[in-house]
This record gives sequence, structure tokens and C-alpha cells, in this order.
Amino acid sequence: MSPQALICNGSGPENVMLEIEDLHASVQGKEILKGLSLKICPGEVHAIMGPNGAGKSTTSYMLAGRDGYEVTSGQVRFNGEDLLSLKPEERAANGIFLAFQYPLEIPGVSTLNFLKTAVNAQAKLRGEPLLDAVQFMRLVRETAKLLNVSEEMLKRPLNVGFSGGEKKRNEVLQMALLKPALAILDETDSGLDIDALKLVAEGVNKLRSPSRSFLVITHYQRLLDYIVPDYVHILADGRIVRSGDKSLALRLEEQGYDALIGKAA
Amino acid sequence: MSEIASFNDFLQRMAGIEDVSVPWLGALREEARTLFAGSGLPTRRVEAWKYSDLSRALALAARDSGPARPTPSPPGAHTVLFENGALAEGKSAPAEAGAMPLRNVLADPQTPFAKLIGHVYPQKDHAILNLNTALMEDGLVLHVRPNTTLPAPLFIRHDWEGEGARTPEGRHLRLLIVLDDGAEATVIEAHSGSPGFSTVVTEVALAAGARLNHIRFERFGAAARQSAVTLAEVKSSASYKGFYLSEGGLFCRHEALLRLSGKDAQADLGGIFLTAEGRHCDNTIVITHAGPDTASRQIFRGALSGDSRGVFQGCVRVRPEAQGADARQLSRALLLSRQAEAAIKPELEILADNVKCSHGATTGELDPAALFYLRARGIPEAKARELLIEAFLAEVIAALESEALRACAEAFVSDWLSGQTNEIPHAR
Amino acid sequence: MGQEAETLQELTDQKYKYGFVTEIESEFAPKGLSEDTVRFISQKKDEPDWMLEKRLSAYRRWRTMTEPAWARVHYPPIDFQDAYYYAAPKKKEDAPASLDEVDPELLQTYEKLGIPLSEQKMLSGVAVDAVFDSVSVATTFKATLEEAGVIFCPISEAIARHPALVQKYLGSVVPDTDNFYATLNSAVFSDGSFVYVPEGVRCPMELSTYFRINASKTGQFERTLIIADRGAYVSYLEGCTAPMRDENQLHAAVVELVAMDGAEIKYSTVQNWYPGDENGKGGIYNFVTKRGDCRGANSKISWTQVETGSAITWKYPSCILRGDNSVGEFYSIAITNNFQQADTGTKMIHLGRNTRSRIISKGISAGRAQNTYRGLVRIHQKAEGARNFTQCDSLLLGSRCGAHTVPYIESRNPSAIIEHEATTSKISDDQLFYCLSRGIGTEEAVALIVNGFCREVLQQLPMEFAVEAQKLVGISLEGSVG
Repeated sequence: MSPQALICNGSGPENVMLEIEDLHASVQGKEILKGLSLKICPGEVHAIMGPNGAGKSTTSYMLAGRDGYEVTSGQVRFNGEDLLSLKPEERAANGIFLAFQYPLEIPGVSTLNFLKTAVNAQAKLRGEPLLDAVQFMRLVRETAKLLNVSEEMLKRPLNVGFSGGEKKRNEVLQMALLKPALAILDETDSGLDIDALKLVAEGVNKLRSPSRSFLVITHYQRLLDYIVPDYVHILADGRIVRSGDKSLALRLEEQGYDALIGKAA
Repeated sequence: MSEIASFNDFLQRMAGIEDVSVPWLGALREEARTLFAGSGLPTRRVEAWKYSDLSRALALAARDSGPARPTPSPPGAHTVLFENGALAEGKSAPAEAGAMPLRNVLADPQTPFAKLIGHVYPQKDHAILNLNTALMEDGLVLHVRPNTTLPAPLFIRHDWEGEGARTPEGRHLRLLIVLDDGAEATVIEAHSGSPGFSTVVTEVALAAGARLNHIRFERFGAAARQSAVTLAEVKSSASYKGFYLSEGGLFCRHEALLRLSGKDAQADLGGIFLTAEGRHCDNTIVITHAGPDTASRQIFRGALSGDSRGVFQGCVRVRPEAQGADARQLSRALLLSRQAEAAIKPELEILADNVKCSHGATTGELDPAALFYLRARGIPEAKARELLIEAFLAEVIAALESEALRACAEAFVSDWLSGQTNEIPHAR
Repeated sequence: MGQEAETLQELTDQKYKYGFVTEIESEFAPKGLSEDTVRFISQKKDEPDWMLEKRLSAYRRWRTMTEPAWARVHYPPIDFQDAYYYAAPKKKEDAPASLDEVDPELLQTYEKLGIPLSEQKMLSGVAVDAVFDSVSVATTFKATLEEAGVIFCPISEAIARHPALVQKYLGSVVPDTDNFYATLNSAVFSDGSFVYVPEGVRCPMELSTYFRINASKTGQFERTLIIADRGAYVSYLEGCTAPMRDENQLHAAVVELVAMDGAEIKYSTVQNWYPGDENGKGGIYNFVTKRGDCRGANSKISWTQVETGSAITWKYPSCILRGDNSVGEFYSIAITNNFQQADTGTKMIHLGRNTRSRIISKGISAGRAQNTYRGLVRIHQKAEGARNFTQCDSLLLGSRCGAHTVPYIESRNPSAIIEHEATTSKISDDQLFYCLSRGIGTEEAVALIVNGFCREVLQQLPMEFAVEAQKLVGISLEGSVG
């Protein structure tokens, strides 16, 4: 199955949520993405796997709109609109959520204040009514409970002194509150032990729905035991070189990147 | 009438003051006048004034920078109002606040405060101090008796507005705070508007075990010129807590010269300086540890935008007799624009060996990674910057014990932030 | 451990082992300073007219200047007329053609200083220029260096043989008008080293100059100029000693470094001028201007100094980071004991984009000494992405000394990041007790702990110097505890 031939189950273009087409992008003058193409339809879970330096983090940062990632050719459409011309906050309001590999510690900003600001900023950009303090607190409490996040954690400064697991759970909590259409999980498994990983995956699974898609970026197959993908893509040297279903990830685990990338080439 | 103040204007004004009926004051002024005449105004060649050019600021004609924006004030405080450097007698009752007008004290040949005014922590070579001593007319004296707590915070409100704010020889205020053994008080000095030129000297005498919270809110107008000095003598087990929040002005400088003279004396300083286009804000701190086991803390943060300059000079001196001194200082400046400038001079001068002294200083811009994280959650860039600036300043405000004062400080900061055009310094 | 202890023991027996005087017949310039003195020096060196003119103009300028007073050093006024500005060992002919012709008395002197000048005995891989009072007496390994295209010679020789290079670079980093002492030096400098490493050449050996003041009432005013052309590399070491005398002698040197595109200069100093006795009598007044110009992109200048000597040290080896991506470093150990006073530090002037600087300063103060770190980090408006890190630690041994830290931080570019940290403390009683409980004597334990405190800087020194410097740390603190 060639990557270009992979069509998501909705088949018609009006159903495609994210479409990346022959994307070339560089960082500090060095080309990292060299013709990346990918389509994601609503409700699908796609996994991108790849060795170090393949362009995994670049893909996630480029989609979220981080400075310093220069697209030299190709395009990205999100729900039919050009994504690349939008600012990071506009992309977020349009439904893109990046769960960071290393969530930032921001002393002085309380987690609650941050969450409220984000929820209302997105509502404002979308022209939706804002939540008042009471409504917001109710929403946070319910969501936190659902995801096993303690209230004490919410009162602390954003990610400051959080364990690796707490940071990732906080990312999932944000995802739950911000209700994105497309959630990108950037190496969410890194730095987590198996118990923490299960807890995070459980949270993610609770948020799966027919209208929400996921792009799970990971180096190891392990995460995909818990967040089971519909499609698996192998990214190497800035391009998707193989695509398949979840069994591809298992084969990768058995045979290693070299064997599979070698075959594709 | 010229609105430009010069050395000669000051001298002339000094010569015009006679206090023959109050010998102690006459002698005090005479000495200050002589010293001032000898030293002149400080220039940038004086090391402590390296980053603040007073003569340049004085040479500019005074202008009006619109109505004064009052600072937040904590609920329940006793307010004493000064208008353009003069006590507004009809509008405030110092006695109710536990204070007395300086004028009354200066007119009293027998006042017990004669031995304190100008003598709490003498600095003979300090030109601004001498200028103030020679010309001071108005102000307050606060005296709290042993083991007494001032029932409500004293809120000293200075409004500077209109022609009256801009006399050529300036306005010179003196505040004397005397806390006897074990006494406690909270004093807030708040300035708003644009004095043409003013000096404010606050003398603080803390007896054993006394505790003072000293807050300064400076919400000056863009044309404000002020040089203020706080002098404090802190005796054994006494504590001076300072919190200085300033927007700077055309030329604004506040010096805190503190002497920890008794065993276990403490000084705890927090400061925030926020500067916008065309402003200059200088925070100069000299803490002298002169008693054993004395401790000092300093946390300063500056957010500098527009074409402005923020200065922080913080010197810790440990005298040979101050064994066991513990002094820490942290200063950080955030440059928010391409034209802003930070000048930082932390300094240690240590003459005792059994000490723990340290300082740290940083300058930089908002962390781009943190900014991206917030934006990726849908928070617009301007709002994200505001949040990060508030967070940067939060540590200083958090150190304030009183919740009411914390609220005032937060309101002060968020008001400043909302007044900023929030230019975004896209580099390269 | 054992070896270190032994060395210390051996060295603590003598306080300042370089304090001897060489009996050698010298010729002097007339005492005092005047245009005639300047002309005398220039004439002695057979200098071209342009050089004399340069000196005279510096001298005239100097006469209008006043001594700087901002440093935290105190000393009685210097009588600039009560000193000799030129002293040279008398010799039969002009310059010795080979080491065999160098006065044996001089060779012996350097042997005693641990710097044997005969190439067979030398530390391999180090070329030495030996400066005795006002003149260079010998330069070793000249031939080897010439093969590589490296010029390493006394500056007086460079003025005669490479006038174009000297005219182009001399005074281009430290202008003749720079400051009181630099201007004085520009008028009366007598000798010093000149190094030119041509494009793309990695200097095949360490270069070293050893300065010795011998004559009484004589000032030393050496001048060093090092140019590393595009892509060149050179490591240069400087050492200095002087006899023990009751009088204070003046040393006012100027060192200029120029690094072109991609070039790197590593400059290391072990300064061990006579510090004066335990009562503060005698010792060298060391007023030195050292500055490096990272003129080209991607260039690097690294200063490492171990300052243990001199009664007064006034010295701020600096870097002007002009080229984009250029790097400046300053690693310093300053040890003061007895009545020594040191005011030393650096300036890092960031002009180019992505310029980086690093300052590591370790000050140790003992006896009644005063030790000041004074440093400036300045970021200019165009220095996009500049970065500085400064760590400044002071250690106090005893309650009668002082340690002072005076950093100046000036930033005019928001993308620049400056981080500065400083601490002052005494030797931890716990550490000391731990050593004592293992049977290590107090003095030795202190030397051990202080060496540990200085490790980060000592590591920067070339091997040959690192050992010497470690020993010096122990000796300098002798008598400071107990």
C-alpha cells in the first residue's frame, strides 16, 4: 500500500479533516520534512512512528504553528482551510490541540487560571459565550474527576514541580476541556513508566469520539497497545515511507526500523 | 517664570529660608546647605549615579502629562493627602492616623524629634539628602509607642497635578517614622501625577523588635521627576519590610539605604519596576549589615517596554562586626521592546568571613517556548504575553503578607499591562 | 594526594622563591620620565621615525591624564619621576645570534626560575621568549616556528622586521589614548612579544613569554601583540616574577589580541610578581591593560589568569565580540594574602550577533587582603541572540580580609540572555573538619579545598602551567590559617 493511495474511510474530500500534501519544511535552513503527505478523517486514530531525526517533532510543531519551522513548499488544509496561514492560537481555536512532549513549566501562572484563560480565549475566538467563574469551576471539577486529576494539582503553578505523569495528565485534562477536533500527541509516552502510561492512555481513550481524530506520534510501539490506532505510518527522513494498520506497528517492533525502512526504499 | 531647576535655583531658595526661632533646625539646615553647596548636584561621574542623569532630567522644561491616575489603596487605611507636596489640611486628619504634620514639628524648638530628623542614619555626602534637609517644609512624623500596633495602615497619598506641581526649586518632603521597642506599623506612600521636581526623604528608626511594612506605589505621569531616599536604622530583632512598585517617570529614582545595626535585625525587600516609552526608573539599594546574625533578602523584577531604561543597583555591605550575616539578592529584568535598556549592578562588599552572601541577576525576553505553549492552547499572543509578564512579577507580590496589599499590587500591575500597547518585539 | 602534599611541604619552606637578584651589569635610561626618556628608549631600539612619533604623541597625551581612582585599591601616590623606564643587561654586541652568546648569568637566572632556555632542556612543545627588565634576552624554537610560518619574536624585532604588520595592528585594540597606564605604556614600552599566526595555521607549539623584573627602581612596560589570522590557532602562556625588594615597583603592560574570522587565541597567565612581605612592604604595582578583539566572525578569545602575586593588581582582560558568533571567555583565580590588594575582572562587549561570553571568577582573600571582582557585560542593540553566563565566587579565609563583587550588566537587546551569579562564603568548617579527621594538616587541607574551589579555572590552563598554578595556590595562602 503506497502512502498516497491510503484513503480514509470517508472517501469524499469533504470528509477529510486534515490533509497534508507534499510538505517540505526546514528548521534553521535545514530541510527536515521532504514531501510529507497524510490525510486524516473525523474519528480516526493515526499513528506516526519513526526513528530519531525522522521529523516527528517537526511534524507536530509545524501543525501547531511554532515559530522557526519554515514551510518551503506543499500545503496543509484543515477542514478545507489553509492551516499554515493561521497563528498558533487560531489553529487551537479551530480545533487543533498539541499535547507537548515536554509541557512547559510556567511559575507564577496557576493551572486553574491558565485553563480558564485558554477555555475562554478559544470561546472568544470562535464567537461562543464565555464561561463565568462558577460555570468554569463546575466544568473543571467534573473533567478533573473523570481523568483522576486532583484539585490540589490544579492550584499549583502550571506544571511546576509536576511529575512526568502529572504533566502528561495535565495535558490530557487540557485536551478534555478544550475539546479539539484533532489532538496531536507528541511522544506522550516519553518519560512515563507503565502505570503512568496506562493512566494517560485511559484518559485519551475516554476522549475518543466519532467526530474527534488523533495523531499519535511515537518512537515505540508500547503506547499503541493502549491507544489503538486505525492507521500506522512510518516516517523516515522527512517522508512517510510505509503505511498500514496496527499490525505494521507490531512488525516494526519485531523487525526494527532498519529492516522496514530498507524494504520500503 | 522658568520651570527649569538648576543648582543656583536651589541655592537661592536655601538662602531664603531662615529658622532663627528654631535653633536645632537652623543648625541642621545650615550644615546641609554648606554640604550641598560644596558637592553640587550628583552627576554621572558619581559612581552611584552612573546610570541616572539627574542634571539632564532637570535641564528639560517641565510639562504636563495629564491628570494623575490614583494608585490602588487598601481598604480600611487612614489616608493623609498631600497635594503638590503640601498637606491638604482640610481633606485629611493626620492625628486620626496617628501622625503629626512635619510643619508643626519643624516649628517646635523643643521637639523630641530634633535628635532624629536628619540623624536616623546620617549620610553627609548625599547631595539629594542635603538638598531635602535644606528645603524640606512639609511631610509627616509617625511615632508608634512601645509594643503598640498602629491600628490601621497609614496611607500617604501624594497627588501631583497642574501648575503647582512644577515649581522651579521643586518640592521637598520629609517623612519620619519612629517605631519604639516592639511597635508595629504599615505605611504606604503613594504618588500619582507628575511633579516637576521633587525629593522625598523617608527616615525610619526601628527600635528593638519593631516591625515596619513600608510600601511605595509610584504611579507617576510621564513627565514626573523625583529623587526619593529611604533611610532606615534597624536595631536588634527589628524588621523592615519594603515593597516598592514603580512605573518610573521622566526621571525617577528611589534609593533605600538600610543599616541593620542590631543582632538579628532583618530587611526584606521586594521591588517591581515597570517602564514604558520615555521613562526612567532607578532602584538603588544599599543594605549595610553592621550587627551579628543579620539577614537581608532582595527580590527585584523589572519589565521594560518602549524606549525606556530600568536600573537596579543593589549593594550588600557586610561590616567586620557583622559575623553570621546572611544576604541574598535576586534581580531579573525582562526586555519587552527593541529600545528598552536594562542596567543592573548587583554588588557585594564583604568584610567579615562567617557570612553567606549571594546575588543573582538575569536579563532576557519572554521565553518563546512558554509563549508558544500558551498560544497553542488558543490564548492570543498579546494575552499570553500579559499572562507571562504577570507570572514573572508574581513572586515579588506573593511575598507580601497582607492580602489587601497583594490585591493592590496586582491591580497596579494589571492596570499597567492594560495601558501598554503591547508591542511585540519581533526580532531579526 | 601524596605528591601534592609533598610539593606543598617543599614549597611552604620558602615564601617567595623567586625573590633573588641577579648580579648583572645593566645600563639604564636617565632616571625619570620626559620626552628625552622616550627618545632614549626609541633610540636604544633603533626605531623608525613613525614609532618615535607614536611614542611622543602618547607621552604628550599621558601628561594631560590623571590616574584612575575608581578601583578598590589604595596606595601612596606614585612618583613617576623616581623610577627608571629602561634597564637592560649590558652586552657586547647588539643581539645574541644564538643562545650560546646569551650571558651565562642570564641563562642561569632563568634556569633558577624553572625556565631553562636551552632547547635540549626545555619542556618540549613550548617556545619561550624571555624578557629581562626592558629587553628580550632570548627566544627559543624560532626556526621550528618559522617553518610553520609563525612569527614569534620580541616586539622590538618585529618593529624592525615586520613594520607593516606592527603598524597595522599595534594600538588597534588598545588605542594609545585608552587609559592612564596604557598611554604610559604606549610612550615607554621597551619590549615584549609579538606573535603572528598566518591564515589557516595551527601554531605547532605553545608560545610563552617569561617576564622578569631584576633591576631596582625600575618599571617594566612590556607590550604584547598577538594576531591570529583567518582560521589560525595559538595558545600563549605568560609568566612573571620579580626579586623581593622593599620598594614598590611599577609594572604597566599592554596586551593586544586580534582574532580574525574563525581564529582562536588562548591566553594564559600565571602572575607571580613579588607580592610584598607579610607587613605589606614592597611588592609590584601591577597596572595592566589586556584586551582582545574578536574581529572576525566565529572567532574566539579565551583569557585564563592565575593572579597570586603583586602588591596591587589592577587588571581587566577583556573581549570585544565584534564578529558574529564570536566567543569570549574569562577564567580567573585571584588570590590575595597579607596586605595584597587585587581589583580584577573583565569586560565582555557584545557587538555582533549570536556572540557568547562566559566568565568564571574565583577570588580568595586571606590575611588583611582586599580582593575585588569588577566586571562589565554589555550587550549592544545589534547583538541579536547574545548570551552571557557569569559565575563569580569569593572565599574568605580569616576575618580581617575583604571580598568584593562589582558586576555591571547592561543589556540593550531583548533577545540577549544574561545570567549572573555570585556567592561569598568562608571555607566550610565541615569540609575542613572532614579533612582534619583524615589526618590532613590544616594548611594542607585549606590548600586542598581552595584548589577544589578553583578547579573549574585550573582546568583551563595548559598542563605545564596547571601544575605550577596548583602549587602556587598553596604557597600564596601560606600563613593565612592556623
